[in-house]
Amino acid sequence: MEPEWILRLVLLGMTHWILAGILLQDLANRQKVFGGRKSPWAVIILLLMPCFGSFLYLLFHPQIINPDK
Amino acid sequence: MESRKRKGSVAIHRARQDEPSKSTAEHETPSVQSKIRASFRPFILPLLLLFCTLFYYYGELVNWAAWNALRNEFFYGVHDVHRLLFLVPIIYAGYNARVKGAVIVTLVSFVIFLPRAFFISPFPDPLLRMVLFTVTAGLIGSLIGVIRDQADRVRKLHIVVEDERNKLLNIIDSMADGILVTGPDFEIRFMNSVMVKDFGDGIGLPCYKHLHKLDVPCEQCMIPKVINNKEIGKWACGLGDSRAYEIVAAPYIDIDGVVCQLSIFRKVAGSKNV
Repeated sequence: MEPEWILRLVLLGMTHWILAGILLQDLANRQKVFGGRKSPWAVIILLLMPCFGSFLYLLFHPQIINPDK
Repeated sequence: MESRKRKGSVAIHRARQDEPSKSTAEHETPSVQSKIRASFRPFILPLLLLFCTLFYYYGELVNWAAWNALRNEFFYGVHDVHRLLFLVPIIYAGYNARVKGAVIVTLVSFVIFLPRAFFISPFPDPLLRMVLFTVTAGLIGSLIGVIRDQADRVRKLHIVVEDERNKLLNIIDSMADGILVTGPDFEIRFMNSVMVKDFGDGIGLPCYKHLHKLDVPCEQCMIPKVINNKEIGKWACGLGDSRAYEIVAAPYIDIDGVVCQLSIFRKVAGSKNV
């Protein structure tokens, strides 16, 4: 594999894990989640395509980036 | 002046206490406009990101849909300028959701940039340019979040300090003894309501003039001793009429850092109130 592709994968992986870390922390602290159960969301964030699960979680829980005043 | 301000703040505080129902009523029934605004708010960031993404991949979308009439040279150049548009949602997130929001939106933007850097851009070093922009934008957003956090903290601390000061002044104001704060220049800085009732409002006037009707400081004046030696003084003081007081004075550092004299006037003889 070319070094440039390795770099790309590393960057994507880093982004995925940082985003997943932040969102998992949010998931753990959140009292109510869409659908009522937290474990499926944890699986989606971690295992669904890199970053795609995080995007889905953000889409259904926009309060993270719009906290109540 | 400062004392007047303080008295003013006490008065305001009391007025607020007298009419709490009005403000809470306003708080409980938000207007329809604010309700609409609140329900629209969560969609602002996704819409901003969607707009930026469409703008960023506009050239490719036009190619894909074969909308030849919409082709424009601008959308087929280096996308460094186009990327700048993403600063808007990143800064907005930093302002609204602080550092966490800025980091999340920066990472989301980074993922949006990736396809162009990986597969589309024919220009040199697309990944490097994209990473540099993302880091810079993330730093800007995070800094805005930090500044907002600090500003909020200062505002909250200011409110706490003001509340504590008002509480203290309320206690002093409702004491049975008279309280007088005098500066090193003999100027009266604060009088509680008991002192005002007995002597009249003399804030800003020299103490010797207001209390003793003299043009020069009293011969036995204790202010220099209390302030300079930082000692607690106790003495008896008779006025021209039948009133007499026992005075306990201590040094006190006022809000402007000036060492003043805080005196407690306890009446021992005479007809007036103190």
